[in-house]
Amino acid sequence: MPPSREMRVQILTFPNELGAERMALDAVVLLAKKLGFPPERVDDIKLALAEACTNAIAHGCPPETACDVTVTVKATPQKLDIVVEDAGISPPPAFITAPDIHKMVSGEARLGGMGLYLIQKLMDEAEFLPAAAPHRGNRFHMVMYVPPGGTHDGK
Amino acid sequence: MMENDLSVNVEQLNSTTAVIHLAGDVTMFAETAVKNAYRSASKNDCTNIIIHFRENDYINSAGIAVLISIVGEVKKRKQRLLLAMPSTHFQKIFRMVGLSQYADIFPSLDEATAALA
Repeated sequence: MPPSREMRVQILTFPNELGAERMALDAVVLLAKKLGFPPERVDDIKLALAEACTNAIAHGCPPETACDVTVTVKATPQKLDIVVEDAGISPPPAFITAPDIHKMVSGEARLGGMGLYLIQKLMDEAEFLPAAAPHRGNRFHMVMYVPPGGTHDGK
Repeated sequence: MMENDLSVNVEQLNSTTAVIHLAGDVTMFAETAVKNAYRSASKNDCTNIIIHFRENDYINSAGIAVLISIVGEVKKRKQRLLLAMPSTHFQKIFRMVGLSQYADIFPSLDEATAALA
């Protein structure tokens, strides 16, 4: 079934180069503003998408290999629905843990590993979807809901 | 790979305090510039380091990791770290990851410097 008039679907594909995700961020920020999300929540969506794209770029391709990351966005008056897909050479983590800043500061833990945690805190829903087919890559799904009236108080 | 879009400047406020002014995107590309600025700010045995962000700047988790590495250095040198940031989004993110446990967060540079008076 084709998308309804209320639904805008954008499929953005970019190479696995850090920084190349900017065009997807700009497009989704525009959509989020049109849906009526307040600036604070637009910032949340932008950061969550940036983290998902960075993960896909960093972990979704074999090193020194060119491949693509695809962002699919569905916007309705009720929600913004985003899927980030990569080539999926690394399996997704089994669970998402909160970063331990004390261990990072003391040097006991590596710096980083905060992206998925932030996404989970910032978005209303965030999860890895089953692969579309065996060996077809990781799919990360995020949703932010727009309450009636187009304002969103945030978490 | 895209170029870094960050400008970094160090201002020596007085004998004990230096301000690192950041303007732009704080991402993994910021690591060298921010670390160099911190070293420069610490040259004169400053005990207070203020990192000053602008309202519309951008930070991601890799940029936060850069700041956490600075926190580690600040702790070793027994300095005080103050973050001046008008963006409530930044303030929320920094609290989420626990940075507020290691740095005092203020909504403006004026308020950060006033806290040192």
